[in-house]
Amino acid sequence: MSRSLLTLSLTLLALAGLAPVAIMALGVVQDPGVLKGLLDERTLSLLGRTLLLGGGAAGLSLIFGAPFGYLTARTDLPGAAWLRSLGLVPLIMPPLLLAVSWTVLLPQLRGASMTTLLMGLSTFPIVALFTAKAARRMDRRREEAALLSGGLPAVLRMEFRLLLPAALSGACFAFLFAASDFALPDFVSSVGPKFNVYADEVFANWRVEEDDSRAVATALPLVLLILSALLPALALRRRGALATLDSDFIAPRTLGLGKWRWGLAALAWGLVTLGALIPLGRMLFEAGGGPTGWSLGKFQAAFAKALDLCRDNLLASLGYSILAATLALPLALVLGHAIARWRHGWLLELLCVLPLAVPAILFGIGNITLWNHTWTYGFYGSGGMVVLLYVGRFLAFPTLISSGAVASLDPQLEQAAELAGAGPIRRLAKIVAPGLLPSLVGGWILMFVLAMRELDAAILVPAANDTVMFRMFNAVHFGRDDFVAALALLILFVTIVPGLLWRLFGGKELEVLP
Amino acid sequence: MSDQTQSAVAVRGLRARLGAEATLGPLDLDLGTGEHVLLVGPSGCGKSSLLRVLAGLLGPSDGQVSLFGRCVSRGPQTQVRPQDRGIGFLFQGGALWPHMNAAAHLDFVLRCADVPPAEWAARRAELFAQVDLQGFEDRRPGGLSGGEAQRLALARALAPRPRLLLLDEPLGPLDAERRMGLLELFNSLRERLDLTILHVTHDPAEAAALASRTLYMQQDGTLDLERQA
Repeated sequence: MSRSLLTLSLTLLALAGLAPVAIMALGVVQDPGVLKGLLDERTLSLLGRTLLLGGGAAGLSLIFGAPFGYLTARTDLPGAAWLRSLGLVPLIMPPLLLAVSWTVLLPQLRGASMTTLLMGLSTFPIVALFTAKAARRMDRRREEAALLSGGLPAVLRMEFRLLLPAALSGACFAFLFAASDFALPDFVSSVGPKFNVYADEVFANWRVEEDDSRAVATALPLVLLILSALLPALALRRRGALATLDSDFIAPRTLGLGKWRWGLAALAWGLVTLGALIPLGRMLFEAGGGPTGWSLGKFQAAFAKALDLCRDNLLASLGYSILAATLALPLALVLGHAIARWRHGWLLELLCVLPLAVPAILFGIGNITLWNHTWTYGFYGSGGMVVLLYVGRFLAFPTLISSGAVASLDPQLEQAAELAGAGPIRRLAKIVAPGLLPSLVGGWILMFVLAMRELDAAILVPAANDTVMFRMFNAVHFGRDDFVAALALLILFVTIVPGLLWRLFGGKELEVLP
Repeated sequence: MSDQTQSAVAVRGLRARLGAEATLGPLDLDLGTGEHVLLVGPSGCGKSSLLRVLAGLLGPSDGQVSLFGRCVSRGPQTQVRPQDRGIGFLFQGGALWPHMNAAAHLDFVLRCADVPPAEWAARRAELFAQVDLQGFEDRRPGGLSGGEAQRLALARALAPRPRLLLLDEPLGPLDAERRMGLLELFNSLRERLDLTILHVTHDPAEAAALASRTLYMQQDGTLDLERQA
């Protein structure tokens, strides 16, 4: 590995991802008084609610996602290819948009149950993706040996232990997303019974009480909670990958479901209907006039209005997200390579994922504390601030994808190039990167999607107030109408475009898992 | 020790850590120029690791390694970079680059060796002829049989015109007929290109007829001096 390239990447990681976390930690160290009363009754109650939300969402995502992932990846389920694509929609769709649709359809269901259900629906594709990847890596001979000894039940029993680490790893990431989310619980609680979660409290401490240090101190238990899910996720991710990698791998056969085929298909399509088709249908319905009477004219007018009013916001979000994903890609390649090849790569991995352990709200506060000074004000108010925010917040994902891919790349390929005289940069560019193309493109697309749907940190950082998700956040709180629905569909369409283009013209299966 | 006068490989007191518990050495090793030496031993004893230490891909913890009279590593200090040691390495399984066709494999090495682009075509043709792989220039590794892939890996190893060729289980995936063909190729290349070959195998009968000597490595990572043949 080139030392200069690694130093540059580590510097950017430190600047974008670690400095906002470090400056907040420093604030608490300098003012330890803010820790007093941290575990009072109210805080513990909020922590319990957040644990309930995260655990509930992770549990639902496991129940929904693991069978869905396995069935769509490995069996003759009718419409499996369509299900695989449509099953990603709930993850791509910002959770707020899911909430906007379902709170109209089920107005009587609010509070904890609605928030947990929506978070479960939003995150089940993560578990499905992890499970599907592990399921596709089952060696055919292993399955055939199990099949000979006891048919399909024996195959499933044998594979359960190999699939479980991958599915649990996905559930841990689902917990991470659910426990740190602010906008969805906030929106669901905006009408009816309140369901305040920990991120609300952090936000209130900062926005209402204007107390940075208190906000940081308040968040500490949440950080520990998220870390307690993140560390097992990383460990399980390794186990899930290693359990199924062989050098002479033979792809497994499609498993026949027999008489269960149509019943299971109905369940899978039902899940996709709940997570994707109903929200999409509801938005299409509302964009065309909704309860006042649907018409194509109203539909077109709503889109024209949304485009007219939010064109600049859409373009801004698109620009920030493309820049953030493109900047993150070489960083992810270099850092991912170091994580996979260094003996103590796990330490670097820990540093890379640290920004994920911090709730997005707090990460936003850290960036404000770091950059809101007279001498950095030019940058603080610019789009560069938003790009840096996104890179710092989400760099861990393409980095983990890249490190996983490098780990499965035969080190001898690089050694052969080294013996030929290729330097570290040439080896990375000519030998490693081409072998990792599906993972690098997958990392780029995941980073783009996460940046496009990012809202929590963007609510706080003024430079991000011109993003389309911020515009959407404001719009939904001032009532839903055809404009909001059309804007939601536009956001979704723009977010899906890169993945769709790769699906149509890319040829290879994308790798989008951390 | 062989009867050749000039030393191609001279290893003294070599030790290397292979993991939490396994170690290589201490061992001494001498190869004369032009020799084809077999290195055999049980799985996991460190045969491949010894090749990697000689190539500079694995750092020793102690001892000295000299190649053709030049000290390339002393203790944990690397004196000469892997690419400057004059070594060709045939990796176990080939380690071909899946995204490059056969011609691109050789071009990559020739570019790294600072060979002028105007000479690449001629050098490529020469290398493909040496390993009897003419007509396969546009094929990627996925489109080659096991024997063809090994020949391409061999051409890549020969491209920088090495003096020492390290073979790590080169015949593993091949059938008997292809094994014999490749062994004869190694032998003819050794004579034509004045190569010294250190050949790791777990099957002592594999190349015994062509090798000048056989060295035995023990499970503890040392050489069994009494069994040298």
